Amino acid sequence: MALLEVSDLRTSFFLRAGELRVLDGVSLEVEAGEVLGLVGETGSGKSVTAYSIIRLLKQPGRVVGGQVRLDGRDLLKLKQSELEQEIRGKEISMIFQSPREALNPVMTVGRQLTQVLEIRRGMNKRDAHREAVRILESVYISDPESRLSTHPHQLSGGMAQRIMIALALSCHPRLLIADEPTTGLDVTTQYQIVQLLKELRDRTGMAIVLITHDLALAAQICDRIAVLYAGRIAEVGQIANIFRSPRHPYTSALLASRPRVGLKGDIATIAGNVANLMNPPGGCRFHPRCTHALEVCSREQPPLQPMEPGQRVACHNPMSIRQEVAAGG
Amino acid sequence: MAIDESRLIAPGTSIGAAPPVVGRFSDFVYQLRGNPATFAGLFIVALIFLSALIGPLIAPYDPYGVNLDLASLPPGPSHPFGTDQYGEDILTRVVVAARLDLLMVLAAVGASTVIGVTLGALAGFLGHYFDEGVMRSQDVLQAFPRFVFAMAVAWALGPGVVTVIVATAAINIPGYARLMRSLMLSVKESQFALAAVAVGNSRWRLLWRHLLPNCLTPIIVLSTLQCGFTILEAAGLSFIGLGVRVPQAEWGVMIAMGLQDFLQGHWWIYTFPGLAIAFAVLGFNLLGDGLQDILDPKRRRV
Repeated sequence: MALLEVSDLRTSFFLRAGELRVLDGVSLEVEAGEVLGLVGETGSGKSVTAYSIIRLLKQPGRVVGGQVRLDGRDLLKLKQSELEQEIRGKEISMIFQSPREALNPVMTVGRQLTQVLEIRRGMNKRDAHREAVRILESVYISDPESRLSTHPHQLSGGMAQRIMIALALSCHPRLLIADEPTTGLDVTTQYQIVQLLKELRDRTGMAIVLITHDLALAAQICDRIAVLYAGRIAEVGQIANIFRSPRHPYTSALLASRPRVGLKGDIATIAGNVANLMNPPGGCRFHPRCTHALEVCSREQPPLQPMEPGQRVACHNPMSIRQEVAAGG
Repeated sequence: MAIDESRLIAPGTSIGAAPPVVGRFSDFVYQLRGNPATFAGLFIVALIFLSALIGPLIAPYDPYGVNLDLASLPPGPSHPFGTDQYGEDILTRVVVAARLDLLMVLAAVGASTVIGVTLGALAGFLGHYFDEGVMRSQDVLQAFPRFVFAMAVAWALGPGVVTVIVATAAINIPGYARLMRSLMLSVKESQFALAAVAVGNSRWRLLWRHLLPNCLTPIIVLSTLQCGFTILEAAGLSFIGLGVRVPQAEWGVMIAMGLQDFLQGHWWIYTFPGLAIAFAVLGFNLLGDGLQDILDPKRRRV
């Protein structure tokens, strides 16, 4: 059984103008120890998926249907207190973009760490201090002893994100949700953070859900990726398969719009805008922008079904499998 | 032109080791040294506290020693600030009055801070009906001119020390509630609040451990500044006879006594307590301004 099973998750934002269906039946699994990438454009529902899983949605957002099972336990049915005491931090933890803003600005780094250790793991002050030093060492912070007495604004972005990771992992969660953890960091720091996440996964066996719009970043670390479009899964599968032979036209267009070395001319863009979720197009939500659209696409929503070379795709008229993959496969 | 090399490194860039750990007190002294105005404010406030503590011990005369033979003497060698109509030494009374004035101010500011901050924090944090209820009630309080409202409260309670405290506290509550509510509204939407919830903090722990401490700097600064204004207001109430009464040694009362003899040209009777008030207000204001720099980790000297 998968560690986390999300099935038919529906989340809406209830605005004055009407119901905004941000997630419209998202289903995915995360196996223990795997890194799943959630990719898509802005507004595709990546972050809302994460916030729905850990139940951090703010007004006016609300989960209106579906299940989120962690080890078979439906998180959406848990009481607030159970969620706080048993799930958040201990089973599922989360890190954010702009890490410097995610740390409490008036508390020293050390106090933030030891507080969690004292409260959540019942340590006394001295043990908590020792453990905090050990944890900072484990995320490769040099001179951890004196770092503990610094305030967040004295840290660089990369350093702050390491500390955020240390905080998130201080109670040994089995799943880490990383919401664009490298946005706003420079490229070398991005690489270091990704390497760190990868190594922590290998060392601790936790699973990671990485939310990103950066496909190159996803390629560095993810085992599988799920491509979201307008609140639905377009394609999900092993990263190698999807990169070599994307079957959904949206995935294909997304891959084509990456900046690449040796690229001549302009970067290909996807025509049109992300679907209006207040009044989404019928059938497949991508069909108005799709170069492959058939007449059926505007009528029927395509089911997510297995396709060669090994991913699941929601498309009536998928891209043909790439020749070299078919020959090699 | 010499180039300050430390400026060449972008803020927030970490280089080398973390700053050395220093003791809290020595850090505080270091912060003060870079800020002479704050130091002056602290000095004045300390002086007031000192005279409140040991004033009666060091004062040269009995503050209530009526001696009509010595009535209304101008400042001179034996009475540096002169004497009032009852022959009481004004220097003694100015020094001794610090205890009562400070007591009233601290009690009033303390009470209004605690009540106002609690109301404002809960209003901002809980929102909805609680927010509406609290803030509309504060609107009602603020609809009256401050001092008129204080006079009404004092008049209803009758003169006395407790009256001054209650009346000056009451008029300051809405200010704290408003400030705290707005701080809470911005801080509860911040990333670190979200992150704190994501690692498993409960609602109340979030409020107490993460949100409140992030709102405190402006509150402490406001309270310090408010001490100055409250001295004025307390003295004002006593001056118009709704607060502390003659012959109590209190700065406002002493000014009121001096005004009875205004036409005789006995300027020293009201001038010295008036200067004491001005001095105290100045001290609290300087300290309040400086505390802002010292308390905010980002504005501190490093």
